[in-house]
Amino acid sequence: MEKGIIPVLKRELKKMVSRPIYIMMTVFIPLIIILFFSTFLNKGMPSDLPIAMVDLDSSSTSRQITRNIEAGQTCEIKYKLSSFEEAKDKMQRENIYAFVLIPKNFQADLLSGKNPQIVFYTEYAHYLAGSATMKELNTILVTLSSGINLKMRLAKGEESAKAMANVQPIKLDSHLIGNPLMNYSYYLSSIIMPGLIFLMSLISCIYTIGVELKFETSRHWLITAGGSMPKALLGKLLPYTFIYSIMLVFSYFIMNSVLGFPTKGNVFLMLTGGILTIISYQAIGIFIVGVLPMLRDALSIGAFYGVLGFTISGFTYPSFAMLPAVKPYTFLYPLTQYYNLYSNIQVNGLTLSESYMPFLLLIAYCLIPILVMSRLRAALIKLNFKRE
Amino acid sequence: MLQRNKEAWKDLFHIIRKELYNIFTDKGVLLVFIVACVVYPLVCGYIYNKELMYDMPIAVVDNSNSTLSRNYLRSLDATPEVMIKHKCSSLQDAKDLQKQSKVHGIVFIPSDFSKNINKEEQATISVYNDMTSFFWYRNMALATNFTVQEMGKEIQTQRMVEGGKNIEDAKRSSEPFEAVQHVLYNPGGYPSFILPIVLILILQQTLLIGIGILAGTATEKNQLNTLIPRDAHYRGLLRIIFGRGLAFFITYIPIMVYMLIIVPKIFNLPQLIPNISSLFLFITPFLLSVIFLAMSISVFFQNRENSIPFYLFMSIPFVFLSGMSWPREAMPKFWELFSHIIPSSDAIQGYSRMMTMGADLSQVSVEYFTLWILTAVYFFLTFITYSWRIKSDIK
Repeated sequence: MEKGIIPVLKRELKKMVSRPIYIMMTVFIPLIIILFFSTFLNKGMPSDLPIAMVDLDSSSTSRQITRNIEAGQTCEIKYKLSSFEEAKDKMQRENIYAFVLIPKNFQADLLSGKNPQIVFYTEYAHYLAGSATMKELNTILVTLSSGINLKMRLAKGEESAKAMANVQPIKLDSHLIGNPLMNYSYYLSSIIMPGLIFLMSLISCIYTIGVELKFETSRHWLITAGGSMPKALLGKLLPYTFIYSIMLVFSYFIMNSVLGFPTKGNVFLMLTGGILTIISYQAIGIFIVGVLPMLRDALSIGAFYGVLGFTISGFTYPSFAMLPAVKPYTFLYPLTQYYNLYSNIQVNGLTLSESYMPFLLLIAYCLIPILVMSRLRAALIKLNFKRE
Repeated sequence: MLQRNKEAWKDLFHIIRKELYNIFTDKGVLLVFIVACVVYPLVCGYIYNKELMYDMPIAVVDNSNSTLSRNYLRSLDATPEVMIKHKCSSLQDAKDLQKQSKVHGIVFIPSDFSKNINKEEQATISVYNDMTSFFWYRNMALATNFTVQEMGKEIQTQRMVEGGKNIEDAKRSSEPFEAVQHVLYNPGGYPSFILPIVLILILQQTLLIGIGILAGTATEKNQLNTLIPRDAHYRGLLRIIFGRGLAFFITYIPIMVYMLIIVPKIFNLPQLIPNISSLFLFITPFLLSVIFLAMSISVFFQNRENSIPFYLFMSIPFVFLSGMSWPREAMPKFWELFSHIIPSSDAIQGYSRMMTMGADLSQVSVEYFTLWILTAVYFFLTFITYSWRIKSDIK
């Protein structure tokens, strides 16, 4: 019998085509992920979110306000209602995300200088829709208020440039670095798409090693590798590293070339980081099976660990908002480093010498299996762990 | 007839008992059903805790270096959202800090800032937002908009007072009407928004995975690798489906109470639900539809471990399909329709709105109705896939 990396690799490839779950994990699931995230967020930014107007004044001014809100991108006035209660009910039924209440005698109070209020009601149960409508309504209403101020000044004979400078003494000039259109898909897809591919590389690694233990074929595997653990692991895992790397490159191609996500830094540097992250997750997979050489338990723990990464790595919810005690745990996840690489290289265009830390950490993850090598080897030979 | 009926009930109870025994003697399933359901919500709740999104580090470049610019920066630093961490001498220095993610926003005040204000011309402040996360931008926009508006009002009032107006009149005419924002529901922000989504998803994903594990186990352990054990009481497809389904349902009642009622109490999430019994009514078709969906897919699992690799990745797309994080109106039509065939989507909508927005059952009737339809559809699907599997097992 031939021995070494190549025979192990051939043996693994035979396994991969023998049962549908392998093709599922390596081909179908990554393709579904890429398809989903490249089509689902294609709007980039929510628009035409339904809101309601409660206009108790129905004057020319209140109608003007309604028209201005309607002209905006984010909100669409879906209902014109006559009371606060009615609007609240619509909100609880999820027909609207916000409503604006113009009080009675609004115009009269405005003209007599009584500073009336317009209250707009929003909710944070739909976090993104709530924030977006909130921001838009605030901008429109503040602009309108200044507009009225400007009109009054012009009516008094103030010169227009001067009136403008008086109404708005300071102007904000906002630059959105790397994402000028405020496209959510840019940073969500950029992390989640690769993130789920990383998750699958972790799970498939645990699965394929665990299966050897479960069906007691681990000795045969080790013998095929000539008794060398590094050869056994390399031969077994390289096909997965290769397929997931292809999937990662494909997802990059879709995001950057087809969907036109902005990229500043070196693409090859970013891809190298991505492939290193795949290997890091595989290394952690080896570690988990090494500690728990039992397919069932290792998979459950791996699943628990892997999914939690999306919460903890800081791209959905920034780590500076987490409790100080939670922050160290972000280092348990290569995904955190991948997110750093994304900010550093893809968005901010840093070079390798300016952003070497995430690379070093990723390489450190790849060394983790050394810790469990002898334990795993013993388990493969003795099969001394409970199997079902 | 009566005799046959009696036997059917006997068989049903036998099947329920046997299936419950299978669930509670399988360590792998218990790990998923119980340990994951107890631990995961606690870990997530602990991570999100309460929103602590204050004092984000930013850099400032003050080329004006005047009383006015220093006043502005002081008020900016005083906002809860941002904290001035670095004062840079050039915009380039600040941009370098931002590139290294040491700060998440830059405020640049040009040298003519106070000169323009004193000349009663419009002054400009430039803001450079870090767009690598939605939250960086959000905090920066909130802080700069607020401070610029406030300072603008002050300057305006002051000018009018200098022009001879009394201060009250000046204040009033600088803002003809006031726009007041009122957050009607979930003022707690991100944590109390995301946790209800996570809770429903854990219920669904653990059921899908656990039922898949049990079906795989049955296939591995039963003689001849059949899905249905050789047992005289396991006759009649309806009895088998109802018996299995009810066993899962019974198991999940206490888990559901823990997840949807106790966990929100532990983490002080909004609990505006007017009537807790309506939650039980609402969640029943959710659990049933998930159970039947899981059972109908489970016939394809030949090994007990296959369900984790199969279902795990779906958790993240399901968050998006719920319509809570990404609004339904912004979904492509296809995915919007697709979202309704996943029980968690409508369940998350209903549960969130009942708990955080105080909706009663009639206000979530669309979701409630959809979940009952899904229950019926997945029941029939289970019937079909079970018949197919039993037939192919016999062959």
